[in-house]
Amino acid sequence: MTVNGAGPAICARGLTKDYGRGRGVFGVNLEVAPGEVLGFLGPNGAGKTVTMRHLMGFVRPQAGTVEVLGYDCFRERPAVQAHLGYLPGENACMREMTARSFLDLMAGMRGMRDRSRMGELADAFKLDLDARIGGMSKGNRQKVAIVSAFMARPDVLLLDEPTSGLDPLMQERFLALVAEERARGAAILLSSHIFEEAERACDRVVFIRAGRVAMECSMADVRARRGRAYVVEFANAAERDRWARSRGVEPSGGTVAELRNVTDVNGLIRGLAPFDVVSLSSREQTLEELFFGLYEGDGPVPSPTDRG
Amino acid sequence: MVWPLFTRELRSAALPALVVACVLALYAGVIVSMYDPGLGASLELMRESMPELFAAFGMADQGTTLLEFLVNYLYGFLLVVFPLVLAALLADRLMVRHIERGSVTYLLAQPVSRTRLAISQLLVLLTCMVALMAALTVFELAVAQALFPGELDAAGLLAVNASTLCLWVLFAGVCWASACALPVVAAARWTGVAVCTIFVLAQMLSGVGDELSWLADVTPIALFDPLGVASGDTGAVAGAAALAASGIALFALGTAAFSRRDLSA
Repeated sequence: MTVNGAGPAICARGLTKDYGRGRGVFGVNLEVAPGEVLGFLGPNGAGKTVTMRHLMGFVRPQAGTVEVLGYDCFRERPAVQAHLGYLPGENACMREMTARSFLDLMAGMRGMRDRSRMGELADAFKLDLDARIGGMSKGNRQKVAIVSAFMARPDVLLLDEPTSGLDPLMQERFLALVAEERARGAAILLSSHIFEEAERACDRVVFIRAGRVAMECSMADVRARRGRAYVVEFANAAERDRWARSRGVEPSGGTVAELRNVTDVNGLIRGLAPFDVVSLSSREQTLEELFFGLYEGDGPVPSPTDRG
Repeated sequence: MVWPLFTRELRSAALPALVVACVLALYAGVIVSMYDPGLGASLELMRESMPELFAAFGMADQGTTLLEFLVNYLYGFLLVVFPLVLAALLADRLMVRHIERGSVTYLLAQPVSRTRLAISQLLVLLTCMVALMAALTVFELAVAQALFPGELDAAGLLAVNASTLCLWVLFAGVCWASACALPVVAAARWTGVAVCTIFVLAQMLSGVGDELSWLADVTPIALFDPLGVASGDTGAVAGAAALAASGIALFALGTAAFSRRDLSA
């Protein structure tokens, strides 16, 4: 959605900012449509926050373009901000203020007359608006930032590590809020290195590493690519080492081996039959494992690993 | 101007401004009360015994009127240094600290241009400096009227204070430009106040002896001649105007730099 009402709400094309020594972002392309949640995933230092700062207009791109609703993020920043809610990765609300006075200041600067949404969100997150921000726990400060980002019902939301510090109940509420905003038609870019969060909230994910987009796919694709991980416990370390040698892998001690992305389960069972196995358990591969397969390997599909 | 931000920041800046105002009022009250032709002779004796020290603090000449007495003992050092401290402190609070702590992120996330944001913060700084001078002027007039009715040339005092305000504007401009434009927080915080301190020290050293008197001509403080402004001297008035114009140019420079720079907060 642009100012004309067509196209993506968030768009980065060839975004480049080189901070030297490999730091920065290099040719990043991103698009988020209205009513879509795009997960922006990668390890710390991969370039997620730098990209967010470009979208917020804090930083001028060296090359490429960044637009929100068709507005250039640096040159037309006030027009962008009028439609945008931002949850920064580093929570730096003014600590000497109470939550209420801080949120009133933000609402006043935004020209918001109707503060009812602020009250609703504070209630939903059980936020004490009269407490001083400096005396709050990290989780409560994060709630203040969440209310600040969502209270204007923006068309576009940039969420940088949004559940940092929240307890599991509040994480659930936050994910419900994201779903509600998506249903309302907001375009949401959610940066995270917590893969479970993205897995639940996002329609699509973009993996970034070393400042470059490494992979982009829908959550349905991600789920289809996910194999199962199997944890095998051998009777003793010697038995595990014998099994490792039979696979041509250097023994690494311990009694437990983990096999990731196993697709041939019959082959696995046949391979284990000659060995003294105490237990065999399985679970779904996490997005993190999928990502690290990508991060360590050449392609998007991680290869099986074995660890003791 | 961003009114909600302006009122919030003004409340936050009021305390340091009030503290500086109280300190200056204390000194102003004491110095006005010291004006006594009889005591003047003993002060003159003291000044003659330590001429370099008195000259360094801008007290080379006692003067014959209450206004000259005030200018010599109050405007040479105290009304230069304390407002400089306040300007540096406020520039830090209004700009550097927001960048350092990252709270500038929230301010920039609102739909106001960076220029408007910076001007709003700058107006807080200027309001405090102008309010400080206004309060000081009222206080000086009131104390002088109470202790020495009719002795103080009120119009002259207003001219002196207007020229002093021009010097404060320059100091505020240097601190503001440094706070807005320099990318490293420590440099943004200290460069402005360090430059102004060098000006003040150079001015002080220039009064100590003939060998260093040339220093008086190389700092902008050389343009500060409050008694000249009070007497209507064109050169002194032009000097005060140049100080104010330089300060305003530095405000514009700092604000423009803030509007264009990358902020990695």
